[in-house]
Amino acid sequence: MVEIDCRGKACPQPVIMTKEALEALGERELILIVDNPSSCENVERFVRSQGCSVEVERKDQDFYLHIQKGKVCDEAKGTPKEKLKRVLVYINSHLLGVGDEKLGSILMKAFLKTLLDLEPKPFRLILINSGVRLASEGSDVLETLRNLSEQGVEILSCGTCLDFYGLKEKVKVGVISNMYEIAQSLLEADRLVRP
Amino acid sequence: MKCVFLFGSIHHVMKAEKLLKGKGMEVDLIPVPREISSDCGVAIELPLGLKENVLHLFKENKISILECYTKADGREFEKIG
Repeated sequence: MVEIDCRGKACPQPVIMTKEALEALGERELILIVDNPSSCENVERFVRSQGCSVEVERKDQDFYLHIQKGKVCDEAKGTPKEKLKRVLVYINSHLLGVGDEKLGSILMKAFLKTLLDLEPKPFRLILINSGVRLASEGSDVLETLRNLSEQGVEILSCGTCLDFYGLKEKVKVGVISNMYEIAQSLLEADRLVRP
Repeated sequence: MKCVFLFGSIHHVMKAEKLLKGKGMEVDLIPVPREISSDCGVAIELPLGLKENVLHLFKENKISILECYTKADGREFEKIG
């Protein structure tokens, strides 16, 4: 067990020493001692950001941080997936990219079909402006959107946009949504994908 | 069973799609499956039964294809041309 005494060291010294110790650490456990609450908090936050688990023990004026590096690998593996839990795909046109329309239409179709084969799946797909055409009657990606929907991807079409394009009665897949829900989704997503 | 055609350029894909759709055929544009090629691209998928007819149409309209595959129910591709 490695013990590092950072008492008397000013911030950010304890954090730097922690970082170095974690990098060099052959063993999986480390005890770090600091003598003030802000150092304790900083180190605690840092090691958690590195995927370690930490328990703080107060002894008189000092803080003993029991850091478990063992969690680094385990949690680091789980972390990307965890973080990517809420990938939001935001489609604001029925075309992908700026340029030729026919090409844009082909690329959008290819993009959506490719999503079917890739991980992680987005939790939600938002269609806005002419993007709503993709989920409406006459679209040639309805089957693809249905497959995505079956795989758990929520498909939201902007109601105002459907109304504008006269497609409100012609939505074939997903649900009709509103700006409140759309804006909320954008704010809450861990990652936003705008093809 | 489906049949997948690969072309040398997106322009050929678009021309082929237009031609076949014009003939009332059931064609689908798909991203070129990773199993076949790592190149970025779009391919045309259609029912295998239409293959001979389509090849004839391509020849007639001077649309050259790069490769042709059959696609079994899952994702098994077999090169046939």
